[in-house]
Parts: sequence; C-alpha cells; structure tokens
Amino acid sequence: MDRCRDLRPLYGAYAAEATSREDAMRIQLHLSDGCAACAVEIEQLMEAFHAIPLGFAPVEAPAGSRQRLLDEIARTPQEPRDVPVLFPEADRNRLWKVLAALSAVAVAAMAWWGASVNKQVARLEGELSRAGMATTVDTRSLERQIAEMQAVLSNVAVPDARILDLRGEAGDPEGRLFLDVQGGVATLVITPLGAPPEGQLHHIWLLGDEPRLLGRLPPQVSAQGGHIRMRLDPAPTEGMTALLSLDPSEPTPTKPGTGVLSTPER
Amino acid sequence: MTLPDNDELVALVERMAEGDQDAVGPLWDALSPWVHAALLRTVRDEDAAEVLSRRVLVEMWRVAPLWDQHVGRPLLWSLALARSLAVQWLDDRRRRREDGPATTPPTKAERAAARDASSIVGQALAAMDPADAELLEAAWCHHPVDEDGVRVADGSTLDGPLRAFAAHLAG
Repeated sequence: MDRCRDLRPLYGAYAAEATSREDAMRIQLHLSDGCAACAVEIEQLMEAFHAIPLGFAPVEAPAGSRQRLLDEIARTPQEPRDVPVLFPEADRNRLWKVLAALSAVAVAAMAWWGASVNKQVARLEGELSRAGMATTVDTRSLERQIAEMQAVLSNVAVPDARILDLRGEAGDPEGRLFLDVQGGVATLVITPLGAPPEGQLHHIWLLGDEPRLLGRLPPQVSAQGGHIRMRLDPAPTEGMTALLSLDPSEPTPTKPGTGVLSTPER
Repeated sequence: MTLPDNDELVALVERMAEGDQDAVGPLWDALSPWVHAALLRTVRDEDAAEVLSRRVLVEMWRVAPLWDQHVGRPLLWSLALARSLAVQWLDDRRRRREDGPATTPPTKAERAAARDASSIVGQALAAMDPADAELLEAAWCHHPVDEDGVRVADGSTLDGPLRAFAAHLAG
C-alpha cells in the first residue's frame, strides 16, 4: 500500500510516457507484483490520455491513401499468435497485454536488431575489402540500428549491474545477461539461436545454491535474436552463473557447462 | 462526424486477426479521419502524416492475431500507435538535425481551428481549465504549446490535469 501511495502521483505522467526511465521501471515492477488497483487506475489514465486527439476535428486522409494501404497490406505478413512474455508470472495482468500491444513496434524493432546489425556489419566489411572506400553501404540504416543499439545499452547500462556472458559449445559468445540487482531486473541480449523445436522454449536459469528460472524466451527472440527483460527477485548471490536450456523435456539444470548456452566455468 | 461504433471496430479487428484483408479497408475508413488529424497535429507535415497513418493500420494488421478485445478499444489503440510512430518520427528528424520551420508549434489560431467543440471529448477538454487542456494536448502532441504558452517540461504536472480530464470523460 505504501508503494501504491508513493507511486500514484506519477501515474498520470506514466500514462503519457513522460516519466523518467527509473520511475517507469519502478511502476512496471510494482504492476508486475500484481497490484490490480494500480493497474486499473493506470489503464484508465492511459485510455483518457489517448482519447485526447478525439477532441481534434477529424481530417480525411489524401485520396489514394486507402489503395496504397491495401497494396501494402497485401505484402505484409502477420505475427504468429504466440505472445512474447517478458514477465511470465505477470501475464495474468491485463495491463501488460495493453503495454505489449502498444509497444509492438519497439519489440519488433529490438528483436530484429541483433540479426540485422550483424548482417550490416558483415556487408560493410565485405564491401570495404572488395572496393576500398567505394562503398554503397546504407549508412542511414546503420545509423538507425546504432540508435537502437544505444537504446538497448541505456536499458542495461545501470550502475552496479552484474554481467554474465553466455557462450555456445564452441565457446563463442552468443548472449549476455545483465543483472540490475538494485532495480530487480535482468536483461538478456541474445544473438539468433534458431527457432526452438515444436513444443519447446528456451529457458534462462540462474545457477547458485539452487537453480532459479528467470524466464522463457519468446520463439521469435530465439529465432531472430533481440532482448527480453525479466524480474530478478530475490537478488542473486555472488558467484551465480547463468544457463540457457531447452525445456520442458530436459531436467532442471544443476550445473554450469550444460544447456544450449552457459556461463564459462571459472 | 460521429465516432465509429466500437462493436463494429472490434468485429473488423477480429476479422483481421483471422487474416481477412478485406477488413482493412472499412477499418481505414472508420479510423483514418481521427488518426490522420492526430498525426497532422503532431508531425505538422502532410506527407509524413499520410505515411504514418498508413503505418498505423499496417501495424494493426501485423499484430492483429495478438490482439485481445479486453486490451482496449481499437480507436484508442490506433491513436496510441499513431502517437508512438509520430514521436519516433519527430525524434528521428531531430536526430538528423533536419528540424525546420515545420516543427514550430502551432499558433493559438491553428490550435483553436483543430479542435472539435461538438465532440464529447472536445466538450470535456473545453470544460477544463484552458491551461490544463492545452497542457494535455501539448503532451499528446509532444511539443510545447507556443512561445507564451504552457511547456511540457515536467511530467509530474500532467497527473492532475489528466485525472481531471478522465473524470470529465467518465461523466
């Protein structure tokens, strides 16, 4: 209740996406604890905020827009019905579904980022080696991707964050887990692993005194790379390692060095 | 112009969720006057507003299979997407340092002309303290109101006006 009272004056700004990143995270963590009263209150404020333009006089779009849209729709595939679950335990909360729908653009962009930056860099290197400085690399596209990379970095660049590298069998770095202990958030950034087998998902574990499941990767993130955020509660102890496995067919992992990816043994 | 019927919009989104492309045209007809007006007001660029209006519908089409009618009304969903895309567009342009005269805030006369006092929402805004109403409009449009008007510098100033507006809307 104290948390509700402390955070409540921020809800209007949160509904308008005008809070600081830290305040937004505090509110999101509070909601992910399942506070239904605050979720409903924020949802009502969000609805009111996005109703503001209904006070503007409607304006018809230019002639030809409709047909251009229909042509574009014919070329645009739809998302599969799997819903990315960033905070699995909070999926019952209706507000998270609203937020997921509203931020679909950002989620899609971030999932795409990991694969496309690598491709662009490879293309850049290839072109430079073949043609010296006479390159035709799309620098604007690269700029956009760098901006997206910076967005990811700002998400994980918090003071005192612990970083756990995840490597594959060959020892190549495939992912990195950022543990923001103070904020209670774990962020996993991962390269494309390939789609998981039917009926299975990649699971990310923290291994310490006993294995702790942090979350499950949406299939789209497994296939295309990207990042997800998960709750980190309680705070991890020193010396923990991380592991990414395929479940539920595998038994609960108990030691590092197993799984699809894991933190190297020290 | 009256607001589109929510049940009809829900039915169209549900058809889109099933992959029915024929539902997109009627949904565009119903939503685009409000989406386009909001985008024009925000980006203040006719061409960009037209492109972004289409992107709103393309995005709705793309994620329609994930949509659940309990998440909110399609009209508000489209406006939330419109704002998200507009803010991204404005930020991109700012980053490229291509800001020109088109980004100057609207004048008071332009703001007055853009309002629809006959709509329920317009009436709710008109019933508020004018400074609060301008603050909310500016917050949605992601720009300061004008040289001598309200500036959205501090998000904490939004809470009271937004709660008052929500109360007006609730009746």
